[in-house]
Amino acid sequence: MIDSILRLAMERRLLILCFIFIIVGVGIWSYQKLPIDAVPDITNVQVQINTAAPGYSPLESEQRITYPVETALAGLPNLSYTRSLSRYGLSQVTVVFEEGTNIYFARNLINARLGAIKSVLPPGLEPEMGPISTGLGEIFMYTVQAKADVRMANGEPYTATALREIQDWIIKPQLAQVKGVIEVNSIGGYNKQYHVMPDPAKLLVYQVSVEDVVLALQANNDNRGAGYIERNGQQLLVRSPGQLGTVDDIGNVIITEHDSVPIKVKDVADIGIGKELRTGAATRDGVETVLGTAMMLIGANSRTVAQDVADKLVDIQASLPDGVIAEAVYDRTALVDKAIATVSKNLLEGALLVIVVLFLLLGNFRAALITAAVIPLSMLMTITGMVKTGVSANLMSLGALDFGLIVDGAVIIVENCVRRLAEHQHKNGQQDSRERLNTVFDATSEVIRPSLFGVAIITIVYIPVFTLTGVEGKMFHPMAATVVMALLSAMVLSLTVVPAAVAVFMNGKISEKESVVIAKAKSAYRPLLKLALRFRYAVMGFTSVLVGLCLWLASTLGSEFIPQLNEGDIALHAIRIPGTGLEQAVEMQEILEQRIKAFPEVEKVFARIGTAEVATDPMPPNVADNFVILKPRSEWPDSSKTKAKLVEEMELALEELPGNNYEFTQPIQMRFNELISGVRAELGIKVFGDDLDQLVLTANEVLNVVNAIDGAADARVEQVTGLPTLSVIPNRTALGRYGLNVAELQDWVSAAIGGESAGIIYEGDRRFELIVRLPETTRRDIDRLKFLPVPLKNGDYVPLEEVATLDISPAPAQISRENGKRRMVVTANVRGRDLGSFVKEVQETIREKADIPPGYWLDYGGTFEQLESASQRLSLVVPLTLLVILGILVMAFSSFKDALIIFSGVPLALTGGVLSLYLRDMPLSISAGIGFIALSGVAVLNGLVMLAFIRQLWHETGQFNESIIEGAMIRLRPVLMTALVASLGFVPMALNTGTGAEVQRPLATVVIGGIISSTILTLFVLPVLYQWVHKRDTTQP
Amino acid sequence: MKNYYLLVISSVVFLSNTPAFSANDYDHEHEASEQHAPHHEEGDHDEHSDLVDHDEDGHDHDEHEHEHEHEHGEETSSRIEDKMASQVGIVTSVSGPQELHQTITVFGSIVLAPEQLSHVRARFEGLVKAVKVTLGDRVKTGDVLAEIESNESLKTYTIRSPITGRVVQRHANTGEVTQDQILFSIANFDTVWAELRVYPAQRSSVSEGQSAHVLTSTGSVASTVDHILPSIGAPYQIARVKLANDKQSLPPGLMTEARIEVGRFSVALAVEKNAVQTLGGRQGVFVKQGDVYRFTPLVLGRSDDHFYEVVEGLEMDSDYVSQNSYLIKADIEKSEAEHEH
Repeated sequence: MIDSILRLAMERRLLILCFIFIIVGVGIWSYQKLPIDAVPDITNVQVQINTAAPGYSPLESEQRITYPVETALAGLPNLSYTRSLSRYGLSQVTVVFEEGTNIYFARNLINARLGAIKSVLPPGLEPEMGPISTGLGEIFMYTVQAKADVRMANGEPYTATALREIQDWIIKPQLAQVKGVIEVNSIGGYNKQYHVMPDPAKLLVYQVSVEDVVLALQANNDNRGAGYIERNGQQLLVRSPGQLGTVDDIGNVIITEHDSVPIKVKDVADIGIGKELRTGAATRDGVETVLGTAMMLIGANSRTVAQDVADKLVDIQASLPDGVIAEAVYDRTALVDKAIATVSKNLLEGALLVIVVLFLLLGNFRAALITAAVIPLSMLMTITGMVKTGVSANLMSLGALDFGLIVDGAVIIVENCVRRLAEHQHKNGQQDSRERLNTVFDATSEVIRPSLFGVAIITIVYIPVFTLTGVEGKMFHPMAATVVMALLSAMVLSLTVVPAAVAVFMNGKISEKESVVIAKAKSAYRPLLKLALRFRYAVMGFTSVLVGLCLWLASTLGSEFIPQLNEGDIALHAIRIPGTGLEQAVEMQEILEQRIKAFPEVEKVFARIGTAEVATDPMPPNVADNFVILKPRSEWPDSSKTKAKLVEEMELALEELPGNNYEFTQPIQMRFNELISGVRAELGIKVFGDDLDQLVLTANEVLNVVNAIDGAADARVEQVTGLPTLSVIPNRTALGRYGLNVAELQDWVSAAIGGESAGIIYEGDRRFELIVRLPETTRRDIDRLKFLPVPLKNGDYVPLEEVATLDISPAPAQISRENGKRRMVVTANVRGRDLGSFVKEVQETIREKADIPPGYWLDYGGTFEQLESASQRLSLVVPLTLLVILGILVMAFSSFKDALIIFSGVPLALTGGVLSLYLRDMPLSISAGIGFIALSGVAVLNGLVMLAFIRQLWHETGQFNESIIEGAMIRLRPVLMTALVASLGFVPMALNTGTGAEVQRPLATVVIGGIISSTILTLFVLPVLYQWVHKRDTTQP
Repeated sequence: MKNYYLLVISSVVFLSNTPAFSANDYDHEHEASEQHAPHHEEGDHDEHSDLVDHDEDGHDHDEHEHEHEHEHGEETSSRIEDKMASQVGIVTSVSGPQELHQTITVFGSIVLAPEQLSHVRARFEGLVKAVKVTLGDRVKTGDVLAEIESNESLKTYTIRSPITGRVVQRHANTGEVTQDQILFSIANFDTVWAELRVYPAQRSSVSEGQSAHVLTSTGSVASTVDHILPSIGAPYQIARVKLANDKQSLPPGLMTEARIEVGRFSVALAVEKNAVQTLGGRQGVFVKQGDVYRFTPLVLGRSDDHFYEVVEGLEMDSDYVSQNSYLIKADIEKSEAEHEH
């Protein structure tokens, strides 16, 4: 079949060459549609259901909202699991679907279920699904600030409320129009509200209650349409406007009358523009601000969307009041550009190096050009494939591409063609076109099999990567997919276009000068090879020792799971103790930011505290997400300082600030963590049950058990309690005595302290809530709260302490649930022993020692779970893969011995990889592992090509030893070439320090080091091994 | 451990089982900073905790439940350098003697005393010959209000004001017959009474002679509780407070708010209320020694709006944090704080 394809390529060579234009055309068209991002998206298929429940405490929001929502979702098709959290004023249920579920399908299902439970939820509460976005969604952030010297229309400086109004009603509606933006989220400032603040004493004087005020406001704030009248053929619309517009309007609303004297709202209350009871705040450079975040639709191109948003924001600036500035503080474009710049620089430099090497070694410019042409062509084909399979271009997917590796097949073919053509020309002078075609055909088919096998083997070794699941799968699947696509493209090209091109363009005189390098190499190689063959036991011994040594060295290398992409910016969580108030947190945040800003490397720092308007990341007020945007490196006082060092210094400086804990991370990484948010420790023991106190007890018991086990580290129980709560507990007997019921008391408490909505004030499009609640000074004075008069039905009153008990005690700050049950997690990491046995021991000890009450149960999770399933899968797939490779080799050589000899190239290649990691002081990582995979492919390819030749010569000549030496000599050039191009192609990647280089560096390092050792060892050890294995059957080839 | 994948993947190339790599940790949790020296004073306070009088404070903090959970191994001090402390607004005060004023808030209404309102009638029925005063006029005791011609004797006699005050009602005009009706009401507003409702929960603390501040729209008027009357048919008692009303700013009938000082005592040692924080279930203050702030659990006694009496646990003239003490609590407890989603 291969032959017929080759023959077709030869016969229809011009037609085949015309395909190049199609490839280029389709490739360029695909490139326009290729989603480009910095990192692969590792978010699972999930839908957040947020229900804002103003005033609800964690317990109430769980009972009234979370539970019904969760129950409604049970049994959805493709549902993986649900988890939920109930906090003050918020219930969030996260529904995670199985991989591959269509997100719109999932949302539709949820929507239908939510519609059905509307009647079960408390009136006025509306569950809403979060934006259709992913961990990469937060692509653009901006702050809205006013210059210090500008004043509002009323002469006051701009307030946080005014800035928020500008954000919500001027900026947000415009930004939401940008294509690809699914949500614009606001945090910081205050939603403008009109507040009516009745004085309790005045209410007594006029004998009106808070309820009366609310009712009066509700009854006096409406526009009504009244149909139309036809008069003299003209239609007149009738309406009766009655909406309240201004503070004066509100003040003049009449509540009731006393002796025909009207009691107006302003008689009993102060009216003003007040602050909402907000759940989140934002700061920038130590000053409170308003922060907007544009979120990108799933699957959109983050670079384009961020760019569009940035452009739009510039346009919007013109529509803002003078002196108010909306300024971008985080723009994903920068990161994506930097990452893509790194990748393209690597790829470009690699490609150039490859071309230079090809030219130097082949000594024929046309041949070098034909080989090099494979690079852009296969790249374009790969891009087309990526678009078709939905793989986005990012650091990971493009990071493992090595053009050297890709052109390996083409190199071998072109090299052989050039050699054969040159040989023929030497012998027979100029060939005519038919002869040339035949020579090319022969030369190609001579090496096509080994090179195809080689490519196939490299492709096959990537298969285990495809069996990774979860986060690792999402990280590395695109990488493996891209490499495989590139290799397959190159394979197709070297089957068709390359021979066709050689046939068409390699006319005329073939100048095959043995280039100086090759000549020198050959003259050095022959004696050395002879020497090696003579001292074969020494060579083999030395090799074995080296392999053994490197295996030991590998086990001493540090290890790291996935190298982190350096996003260039720093994100840090500032965590305060639970129960910290928002205003207190803002104060602490301001000092913190001044500290950070003092670093000369920092351009700006901003933070969001607590929960934004759309609760995509529901944090309590005691947690702040800080974003530290660094200046370009060139502006640093010491531009050689590493980011890790800067983080270290920052950590040290911040450690001095009292009351904060920190977690350093990076913006995208942080967002991924928040969304995936499983148990981040190695072992998580989830305790399920009903009673919170019992859960805490059981969890603590489990913790004690875990702590007593060898190897347990950082064991802790999830902190969910400790939110100080002021409970107003009704005294039923006393209530009865005064003719009140519990609901009346609760209504009063909620209205007085929390406030009660009395309608909406419209200002054009803008709508603001009208709230009735007690004045701030009265609300805040906890000591005096008990004296507040509670109105009775007969117009009389009774102090609060008479009918209720006030109690401050810690209460749950958050209630977490998973799969419909309350849950508390005990987490632990393991040090100094292997995870499997540790988990087993924990499980056994807990079974024996811990007393788990009936109705409570445990579940074991954490990363160990994924490891277990992955290792099971891999322990099946890896041997299978090895078998398949061996099978291919056996097929190729119909000799088990030869297959094993070629296989021996793998450990030899390894030694170099391990040594280079050791020399560069790099840990083992998955990236390095992928490097080893690529490496083993190259090693097999090298061995294959050399062995095939030796064997062929031996069969032809029957001279065993001479065949070995001659075969090795002939293959020196292609082996050196493939090795050189493959390793040089990675050199830029190994040395680059740009954004994102840290992900590629280990891979490139391994490949370069490995290829050097593999080449040297293939050149010497392989012939030695071959001689040793086959010496007994020298006589009968 | 997490590189187990990597291990297995690598084994494609290793072709052998490499010994397990040592566990690698990714934990983001920050260990408690080491400078917090562990410090605990268990035993000193348990027996006293029961003495803490929470009635003053209105909401007790469930102290007894938590008492034993937090005894061991708790860090209770924090080191903050002076420069940093002043930057974040930590302010200290010196503990010392203090006079406490405990007050309660009550509501009530302003009324006139019975002796300050006089309804004047004609002694003998007759015809009103002349009226000398009209609404709003100020009259003194003995001033002539009207002249009446008696029906029986047909003599004219004068009606005089029984009290000094103002004419607030007049139902007499020249030529009218008096019959038995009220002709004038004279009221004296120079002193009024506040009738304050004392509900059962507050009853025990209120007694006659305590000082009271009645809040008006313009300020407050100081006085004392003159007497406490049981009210008939209502659950509360009435504390009557006599108020001078020179400026006539307290009209009878006005609902009013008042603070009654139910306790006033000098205590030997007191701390500001803002300073007190709850740590590990116990209340206390942070005492500054050099740049170390150490949590000192206190047995607290009585309190007023601003101060707590210290029964035990603190020495005289200690430097304790009076403002932003929450920061130090936050600093000590921060090792427990972590980020959850």
